[in-house]
Amino acid sequence: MSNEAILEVRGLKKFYDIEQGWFKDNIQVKAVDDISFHVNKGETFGIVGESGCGKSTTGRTILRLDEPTEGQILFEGSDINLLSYEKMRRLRRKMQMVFQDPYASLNPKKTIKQILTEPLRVHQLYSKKERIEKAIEILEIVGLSSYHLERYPHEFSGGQRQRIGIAKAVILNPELIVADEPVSALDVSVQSQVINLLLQLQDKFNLTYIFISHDLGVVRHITDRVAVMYLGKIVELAETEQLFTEPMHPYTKALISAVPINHPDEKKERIVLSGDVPSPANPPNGCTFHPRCASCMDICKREKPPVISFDDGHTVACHLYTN
Amino acid sequence: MNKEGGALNNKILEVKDLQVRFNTSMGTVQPVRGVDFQVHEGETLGIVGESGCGKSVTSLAVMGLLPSPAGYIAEGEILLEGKRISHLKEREMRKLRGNDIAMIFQEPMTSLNPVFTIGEQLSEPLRQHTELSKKEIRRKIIEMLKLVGIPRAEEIIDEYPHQLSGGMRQRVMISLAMLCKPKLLIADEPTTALDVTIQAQILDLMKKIKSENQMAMLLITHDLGVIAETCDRVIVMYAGEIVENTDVRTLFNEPKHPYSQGLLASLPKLNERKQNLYSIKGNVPRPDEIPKGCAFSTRCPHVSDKCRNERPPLLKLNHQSCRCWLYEGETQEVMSHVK
Repeated sequence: MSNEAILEVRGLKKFYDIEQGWFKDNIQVKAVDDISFHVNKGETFGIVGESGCGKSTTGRTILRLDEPTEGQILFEGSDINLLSYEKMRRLRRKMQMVFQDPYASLNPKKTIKQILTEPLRVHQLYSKKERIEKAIEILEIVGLSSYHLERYPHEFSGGQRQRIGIAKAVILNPELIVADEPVSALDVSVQSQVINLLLQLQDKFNLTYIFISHDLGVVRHITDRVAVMYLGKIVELAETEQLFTEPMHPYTKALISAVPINHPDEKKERIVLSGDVPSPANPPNGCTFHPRCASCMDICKREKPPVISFDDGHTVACHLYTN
Repeated sequence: MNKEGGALNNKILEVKDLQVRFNTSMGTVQPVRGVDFQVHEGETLGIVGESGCGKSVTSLAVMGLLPSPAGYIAEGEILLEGKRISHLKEREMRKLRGNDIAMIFQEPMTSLNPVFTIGEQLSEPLRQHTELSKKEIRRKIIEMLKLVGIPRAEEIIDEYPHQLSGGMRQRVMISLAMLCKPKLLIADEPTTALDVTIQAQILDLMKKIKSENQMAMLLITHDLGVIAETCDRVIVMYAGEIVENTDVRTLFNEPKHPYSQGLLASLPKLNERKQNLYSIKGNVPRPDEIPKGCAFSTRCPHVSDKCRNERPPLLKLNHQSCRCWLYEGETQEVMSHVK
């Protein structure tokens, strides 16, 4: 793993307008609100958070499947927001996505051969015959075989479909894969197979992953660095082991403590957060976490916390650490 | 009967050799192939397994909610406090449902009716099963909503489900299930659709309610962490049958069946970071491709010829029962025979 950044996100914002009717002002939902991070070549960068925290929107805006409202996304040094539609399409060869739901992300009317050769055809790579050879090769890498080529997605189980989804992303030999909850829809025993596959592919093709998940156990296993998001903001970012052993932000602490125990005899000091995640359309003033925070101070209600960086790259957005 | 220790004496639910069949256009499938278990008063029994193992169908059979006429109980019986409920008429079953047995479903989003207020929906079991007046019903509902930790209960009672968040809706579902103080609560993946921090809240709430009411709980989940948090005993199901039945500590300390062992070993927490996870090879078999001998034989690392040809019985071991030929020599007793 090198320290060369393959992707840099600076001040990314994505706001959605919700129409309220003819005479009312639109409500603005700040799905992603001013986040910055970088991803190094060959690493696995995790984004965790609860539903509605903006982790999937982040993943989609990085690939420009959604246009960002503001901010820069630098892929290998160049800002992808400035690229034309055509150039962006060509660049997507290097940035691919694996989706959460293997049932919804494969076209039911296409055979596996069509699904796998389509990205190659779109990017005008290889001849027709070579494309099929490529498809067979990648099928074997992900643990399926050539006799699956003529089958349709409904003939496969969830785990096999996710393998096909991964094959579809890897067949273009990309640099970066954004995996949005790739194992959440799978059974426990199949989940570990797919995680192993992702790890093997990373080794083999020197891939960089952005791994979006709400499952902290999987994130701890697979990622090198993790960003924790809450209501559109990154509240903490650190190396994985450090984040899990010495979390700093009160939200991260609560999140980690909420993970169910591994063994019935394990005693766990649990920080139970009161209430729900507030609506992103109407986030609280100051620190967005303050209504649920156990160490809330006066300043938290008024001022947004600054992002505080430590020497080892650990950053946290919390007033507790301002001094 | 004393409150703490005596709990184990009273059998609430007994399921004997339950077999459920579904008639489909593709022929008959049998998602549950002979399941025996008991739930005692004050006890939480967990059923763990992957999708398609029959855990949800088992719970629907207990509730008498199998989709009729396609699904039916082919053999076996279900007893609630010694009374046979598996072949009751719909009218009689209705008297039990919501009163003696209640159920919490996985999807709090879809299991509440969007066009009725919370209060209207919660008053239904009370109107069905009690003789309370409207005022008393309302008072009781508000009391129950407060008990499950819903703030502003007096206002929420007149709101619609879409105005509540997922965690709140699941709390409403729990209060709905608890209104008539059921003897048995069935929770089918109650926290799967929720975020971790909300999951922690709901599990705490369920544990609290169960211990306060001394009821029996049947918790169905695929998450071993949830099992470790809440259950006293655990049944591991695979392909429509019980492969292991034990208390929760034995399952985590000394799982005997290769499938239980594999499930536990594949948890990311127990593996070295960034290394390959232990994984059970292959996929869960579809109901029509279950092998002739042991259902797990196609994926088992210890498979022998006997496993491929003969279906193993549930063997009684020291701390658990286990459906595997590996332990044939260690046992004195066979819990159930192969039919």
